[in-house]
Amino acid sequence: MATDPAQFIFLITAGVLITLVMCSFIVVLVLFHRQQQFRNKQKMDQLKAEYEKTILGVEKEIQEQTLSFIGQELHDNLGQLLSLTKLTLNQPDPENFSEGKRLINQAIKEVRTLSKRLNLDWVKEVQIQDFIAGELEKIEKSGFCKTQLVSQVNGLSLEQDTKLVLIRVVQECLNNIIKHAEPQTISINLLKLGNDFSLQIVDDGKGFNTEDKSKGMGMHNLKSRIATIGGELDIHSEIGEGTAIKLRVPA
Amino acid sequence: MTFDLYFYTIILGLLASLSVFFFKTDRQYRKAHVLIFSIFVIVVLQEYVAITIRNLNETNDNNNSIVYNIVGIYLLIPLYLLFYKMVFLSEKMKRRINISILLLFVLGIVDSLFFQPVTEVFQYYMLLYGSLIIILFSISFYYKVFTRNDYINSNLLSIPYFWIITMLFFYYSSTFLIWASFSHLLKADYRTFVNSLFDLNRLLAGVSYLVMGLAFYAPKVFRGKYFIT
Repeated sequence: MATDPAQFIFLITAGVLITLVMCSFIVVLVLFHRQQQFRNKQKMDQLKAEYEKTILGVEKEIQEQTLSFIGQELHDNLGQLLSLTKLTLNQPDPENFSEGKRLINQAIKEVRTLSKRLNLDWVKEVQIQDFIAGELEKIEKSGFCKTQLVSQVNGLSLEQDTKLVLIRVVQECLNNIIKHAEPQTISINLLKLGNDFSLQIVDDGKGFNTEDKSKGMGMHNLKSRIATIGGELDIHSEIGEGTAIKLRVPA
Repeated sequence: MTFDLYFYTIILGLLASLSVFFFKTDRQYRKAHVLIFSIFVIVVLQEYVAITIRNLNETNDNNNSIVYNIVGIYLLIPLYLLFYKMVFLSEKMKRRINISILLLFVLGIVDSLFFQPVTEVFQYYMLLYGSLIIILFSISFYYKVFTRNDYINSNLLSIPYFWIITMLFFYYSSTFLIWASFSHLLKADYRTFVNSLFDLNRLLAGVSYLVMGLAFYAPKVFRGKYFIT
């Protein structure tokens, strides 16, 4: 140890100084870390709020779409069935009675199917590939264009929120194609890529300029919705060639 | 007297880190705890052997540099680097640590053959290299904590790695500065000042060992002491 007082004083002073520097260093690091935790918490809250907002919006839009579909079904399908039943039962012979009974049974079945779609519980049960197959079938039945579904996905289980957003994005894409693209064929490919689920919607319609700012908002909405569920969306389109929308979400 | 203080702090650190055998350490820190305990045992043995050699050879010219070279540089520094290997999870960092250990031995052979014979003088060139590596890996740890949001959900003070790395950072920074200026200070005839600096460095080492021994109590002591996100 220090043999003379000067050395001893040096040792004490330097020791105290080093201790102060060390303590200050630790305090600064801890404060900085704490500040970062605050920032991170704020960011997480913001992301959570954005996520909830997206999910709520998607639910609302799906409900609106469902109500519009049900209204259309009530008018075009169930209304027609009941009118036909009424006409059939106006002449109460055994043959018409039997036909009326069959029509009523069919109407009951249609009502049951429609009532199932009135709440969002169907989303829990439906498989994404079945939903897409159903949407494509509707388009094909309407005679709008041909459709094709290639699915290399078996037993895919997605979280309900992810499924909701995907359903809404697919509906939105198909609506856009119907409104603007005038395609001959719409094809959808479903793939499982590692831990991700990939979906491609391709049409051979008019295509559009992806740089066009008037289309920018719609594309931005689709991308931000997919981003909230941790996915990515890529749109490639050329005028006269058609459009390909590729999206990838964690499965 | 500084040596006594230093030695007692190592013993205290060793006793504190004995808890690894009696209490349930967090599973994630268990290996590191055993490693730190082993380091304490090695340091105690190193100091004991070094002092015995010094006492035995007080009349001769023989010195105990070989003990500090072999144990203090070629055994302890790789062990500290192994500790950093436990802290870092990325393969890239683990690879860098492996390369640093390998380089320590390669440079050690070169130093022994051409500059500072391992049995004759204290190889402070190698100590400078080891200190620099430890300082750099400590900075990498802070960088990881602050830029890559590691430990973002934890209280920083409750992480034993933080305490140990901070102490290693300070101790090896001072060691680096002292030994880097050692030859200049001797040339300038500041022998007394150099002795004081070594005393100070030894005290810092003692404090470091004490904190390292107590570091594994941090998860229990600081749990919930500030908010957890």
